[in-house]
Amino acid sequence: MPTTVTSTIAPSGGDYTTITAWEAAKQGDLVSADQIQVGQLSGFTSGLNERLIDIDGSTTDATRYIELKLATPHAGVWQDANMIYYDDVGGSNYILKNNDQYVRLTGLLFRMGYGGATNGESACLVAGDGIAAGGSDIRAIGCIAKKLSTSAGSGSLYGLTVTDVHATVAIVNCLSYDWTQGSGIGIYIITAATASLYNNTTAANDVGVQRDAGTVVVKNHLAQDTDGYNGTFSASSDNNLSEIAADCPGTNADDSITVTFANEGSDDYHLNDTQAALTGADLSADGTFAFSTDIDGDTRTAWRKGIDDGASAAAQPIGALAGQIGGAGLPRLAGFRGGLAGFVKVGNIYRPKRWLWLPPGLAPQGA
Amino acid sequence: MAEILVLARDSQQPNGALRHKSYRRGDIVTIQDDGHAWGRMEGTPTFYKLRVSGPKAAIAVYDQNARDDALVTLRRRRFGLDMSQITLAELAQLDAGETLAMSDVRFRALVIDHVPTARARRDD
Repeated sequence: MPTTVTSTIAPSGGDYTTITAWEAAKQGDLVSADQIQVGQLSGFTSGLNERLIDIDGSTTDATRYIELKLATPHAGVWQDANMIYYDDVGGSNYILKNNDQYVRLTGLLFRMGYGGATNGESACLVAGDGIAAGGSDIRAIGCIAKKLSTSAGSGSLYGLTVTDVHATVAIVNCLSYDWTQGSGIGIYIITAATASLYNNTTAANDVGVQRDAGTVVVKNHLAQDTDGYNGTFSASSDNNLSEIAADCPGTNADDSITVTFANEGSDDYHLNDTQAALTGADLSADGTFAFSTDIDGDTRTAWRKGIDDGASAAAQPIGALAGQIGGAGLPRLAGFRGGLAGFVKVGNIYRPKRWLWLPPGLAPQGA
Repeated sequence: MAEILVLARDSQQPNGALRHKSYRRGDIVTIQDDGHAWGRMEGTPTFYKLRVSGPKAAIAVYDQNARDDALVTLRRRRFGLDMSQITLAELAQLDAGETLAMSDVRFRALVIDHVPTARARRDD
């Protein structure tokens, strides 16, 4: 049974202050050491400004791997806290590149801007250009990548990229958006052994997903881009959706479907939509990469396309919802300040800014 | 002023086939602003810390990887300190976990660019 070694990467009070230092310290033979090395980002309230981060040179296998994640998972929506960003990467560069065979990038946030004209900048090279032959299992799960809104160069920018012929990659529940600089791409498979792209959302990109080479299987993908899918994908691709006509790869295509998100202007790509075309395939027993949760960590029951399985029920009045919460001797939902009736939905999570606990029979005053 | 994190030991990767990807003692890992609050593990026995005079921007180039024109890794870090030129007194200070202060002139004199030897080795 491998030992999980968890290190904190934080601006103060942590084990390391950069991902690079963490990786340099941990680089080694994890198989012989029988270790899983986990790096957890925390405390970067305005993000971690770091680029050219390499995960490389360690010996890993399916049970002894490297994982990089946030100490506190994001809520499925962009946040600046604990993002990894670089706002002018420079020619043919990146923020993070993985070259190890068994690596998990879990719930990371990448933001990149670039003022130059060189094509080929990637926020995250999920698999770079040096994956060894002999098998790999590289996972990007629940990651979010976006272009800096003020980025003003002309060079093409990409969100999540795979560019190694030996890479077996799963990109699942990831969100990539706003890649419009040059010929921007949300998820770009330049080459791979096998890339499984499941339940991702791409939006407001020049191209949502592009495949140049390798076996690329796309399932339950939600694309709301100028061009959703570019290239030839595996025939086993299934249940994809696009905003434009004759676009989706594989079977059960839902083309020409416009989807309503919760609040695209505020980077919230949860669904605010219940149309039938959003229903995808159940991948909980998928033969390549089985999973059963969405980007929020909620169990998928409706198996909706894209990152979010929520918004599965029509809006209910606040009064009806309040009736489902609490009971005799239990905390009660006291209410919201006006205007929320009709917006509260079953399946969504509401986080109050403060709790007001009242004994039974005592009405709130001045809250 | 800038603060610099340097590998104090070779990588724990024993696989010689991965040697070109492995960190070595003396490799420059990160360069930070003066007064940087280092993490608990960013010190001995894994790392040495330097404080170098002059603006950080002037030495920021030294924390890069060594890659060829096709972006293939030649060596994990392009720049490292020539540890054989570190005095015994300086080494004692570093081994004690103290931050070693030096001028940017002295720092530059200690830095080795590993690309020429890495490229030559690959061409052998």
